[in-house]
Amino acid sequence: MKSGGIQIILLVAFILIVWLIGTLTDFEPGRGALIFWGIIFSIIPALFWLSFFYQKDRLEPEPKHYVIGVFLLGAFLAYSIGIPVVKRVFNVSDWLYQTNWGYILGSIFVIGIIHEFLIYVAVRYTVYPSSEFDEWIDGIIYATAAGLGFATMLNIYLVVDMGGAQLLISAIYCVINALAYASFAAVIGYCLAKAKFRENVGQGLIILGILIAAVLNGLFFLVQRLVIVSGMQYNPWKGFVAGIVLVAVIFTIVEVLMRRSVALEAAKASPQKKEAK
Amino acid sequence: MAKQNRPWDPAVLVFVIVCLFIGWFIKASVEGRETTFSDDESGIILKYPRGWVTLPQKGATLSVNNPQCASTFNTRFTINIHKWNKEVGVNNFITNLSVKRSSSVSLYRIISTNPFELSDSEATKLEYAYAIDPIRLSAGAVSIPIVVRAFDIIVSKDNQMYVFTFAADEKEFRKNLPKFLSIADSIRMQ
Repeated sequence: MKSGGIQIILLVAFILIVWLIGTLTDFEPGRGALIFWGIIFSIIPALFWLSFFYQKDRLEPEPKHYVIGVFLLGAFLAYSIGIPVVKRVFNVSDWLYQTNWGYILGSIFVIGIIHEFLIYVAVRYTVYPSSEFDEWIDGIIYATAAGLGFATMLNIYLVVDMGGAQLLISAIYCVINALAYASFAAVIGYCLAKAKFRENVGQGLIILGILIAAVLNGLFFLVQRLVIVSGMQYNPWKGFVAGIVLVAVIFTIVEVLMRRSVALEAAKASPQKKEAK
Repeated sequence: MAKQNRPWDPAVLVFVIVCLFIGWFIKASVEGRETTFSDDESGIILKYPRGWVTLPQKGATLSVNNPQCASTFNTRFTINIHKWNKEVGVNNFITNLSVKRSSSVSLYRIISTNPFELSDSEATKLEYAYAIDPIRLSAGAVSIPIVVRAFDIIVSKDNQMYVFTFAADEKEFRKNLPKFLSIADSIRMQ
């Protein structure tokens, strides 16, 4: 089967299982059980996406403990800095939803910048200077790992906040949210790698990567909000479809970037092999 | 293959700090938006946060609350105007108000009574707390009972007593206090 196909089938199976649990049982967990289910719902899609992206690095796969370490660091930074700063320092729940312009600008300049900067930190100050970070695609692999770790922690909060209600919606949201954060992070990872390996490219490109990721982050939430709450009607399914469409577009671009990176590495590797022969 | 390995990226840090300043400015701009309330009959003019919505409340001149509130009990501001006989005295009015309130809410407790200046007039600030059960307030809402912390600013004018009430979930009271004081500061009585 084509690379990544199995993971996507498993993700669909995961959503179907959650749907069956929600339909066939009265799922009303207590607080402790809710956190447990929040972790399960959040970590399964993240692990599937992580293995999906990891498989893309076929030439010289990264050490698994490095990738998992960056994933855990992403989750830790979300828990210890990202969520508290957004919630308590900027108090976004008090003002973000009052106006559309405040929502889009706040989503980009507060939520987007904080989240994407922390994902950048998780890669930049750990594996980036190491000798393992030696291919263009490594930037995308490590950044998506950090992004998925970050999204996992956000998803745990989401499931706990929803109190176990709307089980299927929570599960689908976790799947989309994880892919969205992985895709935004991939943009940063691509720019980080380019800044490391290309001549005449400096911090400007990293800044551009963080800015693009933050704008995409803001757009993702805006599209979902505009479609979910249309007038006085609440329709989460439309929001998910809109979210999927947007993430699919971003993901396609990321896929092109990854293929380019792999092709570049392959092109560099083949003359070296010939010389060795 | 590695071209460069800077120990850190100062320009990125500066960029993020600038963005967060912009974010803070956006926050301040949204929160600073106000709606002006003006009532010809009572002569009251004041400003409250634009995101707050008016709710019809029997007998109240104005009742607004914050629908974006994290608590099941929305942070709110209410104006009630009572007929008042000067011979009764302000202290007696406050006592009567407290007695009435203690019979309509649970676990009513007065925290303090202090003089207050409102729109260049001498007023009284009555701070108190009580408990509510949000399940009874709105069907379907699931929450444990909430302690509401509130204060009234009571000021007399002619034969009327103006009661400006500010209330919030005790957990959110401190956070909302600057907003309450900003509303109180904007009150003009003509």
